[in-house]
Formats: sequence, C-alpha cells, structure tokens
Amino acid sequence: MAEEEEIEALQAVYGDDCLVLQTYPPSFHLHIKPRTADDSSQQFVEAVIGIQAGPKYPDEPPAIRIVDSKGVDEQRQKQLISCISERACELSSCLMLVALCEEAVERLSSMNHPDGECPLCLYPLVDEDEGSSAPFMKLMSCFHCFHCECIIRWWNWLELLKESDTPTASGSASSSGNIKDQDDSVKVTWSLLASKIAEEARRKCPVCRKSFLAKDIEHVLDFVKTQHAVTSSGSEVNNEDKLLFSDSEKLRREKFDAILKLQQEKGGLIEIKKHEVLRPGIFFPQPAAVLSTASTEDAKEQQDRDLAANSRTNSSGSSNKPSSSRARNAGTKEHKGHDSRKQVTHSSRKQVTHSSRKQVPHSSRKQVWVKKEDSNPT
Amino acid sequence: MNGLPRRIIKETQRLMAEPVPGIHAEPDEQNARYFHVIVAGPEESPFEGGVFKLELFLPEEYPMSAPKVRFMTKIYHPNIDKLGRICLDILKDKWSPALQIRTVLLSIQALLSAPNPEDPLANDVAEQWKVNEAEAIQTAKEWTRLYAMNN
Repeated sequence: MAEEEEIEALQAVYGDDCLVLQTYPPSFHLHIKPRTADDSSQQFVEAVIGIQAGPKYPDEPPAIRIVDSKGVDEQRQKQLISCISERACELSSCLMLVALCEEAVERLSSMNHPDGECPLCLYPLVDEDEGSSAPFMKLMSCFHCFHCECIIRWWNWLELLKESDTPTASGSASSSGNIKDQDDSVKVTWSLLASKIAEEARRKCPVCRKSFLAKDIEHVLDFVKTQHAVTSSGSEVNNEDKLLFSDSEKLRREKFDAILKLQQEKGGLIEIKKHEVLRPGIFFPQPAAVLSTASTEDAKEQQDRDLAANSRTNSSGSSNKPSSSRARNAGTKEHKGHDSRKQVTHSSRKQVTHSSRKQVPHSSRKQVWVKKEDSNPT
Repeated sequence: MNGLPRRIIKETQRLMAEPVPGIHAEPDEQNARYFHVIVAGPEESPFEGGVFKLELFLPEEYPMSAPKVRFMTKIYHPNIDKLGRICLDILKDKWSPALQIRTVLLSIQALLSAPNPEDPLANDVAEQWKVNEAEAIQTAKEWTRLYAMNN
C-alpha cells in the first residue's frame, strides 16, 4: 500500500527524529530544527509537530499540531501550523507527508531567532525595526536567550561574589543578604553558605533555574570582549523626570501620603523612623532622642530598631557610604551629648565596649554609657 | 543623583503603565531607587481589606542582587517580623536577575495568602500559628482591622 511506503520513506529521511504512532492512517511526531548546518548553538527554536491523517487521507489533508516547542512564541506557533496546513491543502489528494515535513523545517528555519526581550535588561533581543541589535545567545539546555553582554556580566558578577566570599571578608554583605548577626561564628557560617549558593547558582539559568555548563557561555566570551565598546546595555539614562512629575503621579503620591498619615495616626506603622530618617541604604542621623528617659523596655525595643537600621547601613551600596559617614561625622561635632548614644547603637556591641573603654576621655560620654548600664539591670 | 540603569527605568515605566492588580509601586521623588509600595491584603486571607505599606529599595548592584523590601504597616504574619522584615527565599538565596520588582511584589502578595509557619521569621507568631491556627488568624484579622484599614 502506497501510504505505508510513505511512512517508510519518512523514517528513511528523518531517522530518529520521526516517531511513528500509527502506520495507517499515518500518524507521527516529527522533531524539527532549523537548518543551521548542524551548529546547534545557532538554533534558537525547535519544535515537535504531530501530523495525523484521517481515513480519507490523502483526499482530506491531515491534522497538524504542535506537540512541543522551545523558543517559539504562540504567534509563531500559529504561523507555523497555518503554513503547513496551507501547504497540505495545496497538495490535496497527493501523498504529501514528506513535502509537509520539508515545509515545516523550511518555515522553522525562517523563524530561527529568539522572541521577546532579554530577561536581564528587558530590552528586545531582536529589534525588528532597527535590524541591527546587540548580539545574543541561548543556553543549550533550556533555549532561554540573553544578550551576550548581559549574561556575561551576570556570570562575572557571580564569579566575583565567589571570590569575595572568603570567611573573613564581609564583602558578601553588600552583595546578597543582610547580615544582622554580630556574632562572628554566625557570620562565618553564613558566608560559607553564600559561597555554596553562588557555586550552585552560577550553573543555573536565571529564568528557569535549569542547570547549564560553563561551556554553554564560553563561546560568547571573546565576542563580548571585542564588541564591548559597541553594545549598549551598560548605558545609563536620566530621563525619569517626565515620568515622575506628571500630574497623575502627583495625585497618586498624594493618595499614598494620605494612607500613610492615617495609618501613622492609628499607630499602624512600624516606627523605625521615630529617631532616624531612614532610606534603605542611606542613613541620615537626626538629633537623637534623649536616652535617660528610656525605660528598660524602650531600650530593648530601640536596640531592635537600631539593629534594623544598622543592617541597612551595612548593606548600602558603596556609593552611599562616603556621604553617610560624612553625615555621621558632622553629627559628632554638632551633637556631642547624644553622639555616644549613636555609637552605641550603630556598631556591634563588642566593638562598643571596646571602643568606649579605649577612646572616651569625655566624662559626658562615660556618663551616658553608665546610665545605659543602669537602666539595664539584668 | 547619577543616571539610572536602563533596566530600572524600563521596570518603572511598566509598573506605572501596567500596574499589577492589588499592588501599587512608585518611585520616590528624590530617589528613583526607592519605591513606595502598597499591597492590598489578598481576598480570603486574614489580611483581606487591609492596605499594607511597604518600602522597596534597589541596591547599587540590582538586578544582580535582590531588592530590599520591608513592611511599614504592622502585620501579624509568621514570615514577617516586628520590624517588617520579610522571610522570602527569592529575596535571599533564590534571587535571580530575571526576577523583577513586579515578580517580587507578587510573591509577597502570595506570601500573605499562604503564610508558612514552618519557615518562620517571627517565632512567636509562627508558634501561635502552629499551636492554634484559628486564634492566630483571628489575631491577624484584628491587626489588619486595627492598623491596615482606612476607615
């Protein structure tokens, strides 16, 4: 029977890529890849299509569907199916299976580019209007695509993280977590953990967390070096203004403030801001509250708050540090009476005991420190 | 202030153009890396009807390192401590640069729907949640009513 021979022909052409489900009426799955001269790093899409003929085949064209695909968005999936189906109608009443499969490979080859945007910079991978865009690559295991420069920058970041994660270096504080614990042993454990995490993360796709190998991105390394000056992703723009100062934003901001005020009046806010004006990552000291009135309970509460404030100051970006320390120094001069209190709360307890013993010639300072001890009768 | 990375601008524009239901996030006037966030308590959770204020900060290294997020409104939740700090894996070791402000806030919203006392941050709250869930939920509702409602 001619139809059975057709299936045999398919198997001969496509080998393992063709999975025959039924000989008659013919039904099979075909794994298709774009034609890239077998360079799989240049294949950004692939698909498994199912072709299922009915008993009236070939007078009635077979049903065609996508069984599975990688890198092909919905729109292109539809396009692929409709192209193959059209071809099937054209070839009606002829034995068409091999021709349909060729059509499928042809179409998929024409769609061989990643869709959407780079998950790391959120800019399009392929800018169809401009034609030329930053070079991109895919991870072989999951087909997720990135701008070469974006993925390399991420990779380098993780490498850097790994290097800085020696047990003594607190560089990890600025990079990932919040180290709130002042206990050294905890710090060491944490940083070992962090390096272990970094070790694992560097092999995982940022999008799906599927593991990939270092060699998956090595082929783009050199490319990035040579292209570095040309590509765009490192650039910074400063055109926020229009966005932030529109009327609708003003309205929205007012609404925000109203809610905040109401919650504050009802005591619904966590009151870190009572003594300091806090921006995460930036610390502005204000004239501190008078300590002597604080009860034991308050002191403890305050300590907790300061811990939170402290963890933020610690985790601030490097660019913020100079200004904050300058501000703190200024505070030292202007508010001497309260300054020691600041020191107590913003360094670890161990350090404080140490430093206050060593460098407190002022009697006023000592008094404050003693007072604190007094109010803490444990 | 220095120029912002393009990615942050892109995210900000999208957050404003296509806001997530139940979530508002907008950058501070002075600091475009600092976001004022409001998350509505999810339906059928003890936080329903509540309006929770959060602050979100994008560190210098963002998106390589995670945003820092904290509740400003008091909330009774086993994974949120009394300072508003949040115990959420994607904010710590499971952070990925492919995540965004949007996805982080969605995860926090989901955390409100599904408290996880097995991985606590507020130990006393988690304990209560495990020992007497009904009562804990009652307390959470009470706190929501007291602190997070606007009328």
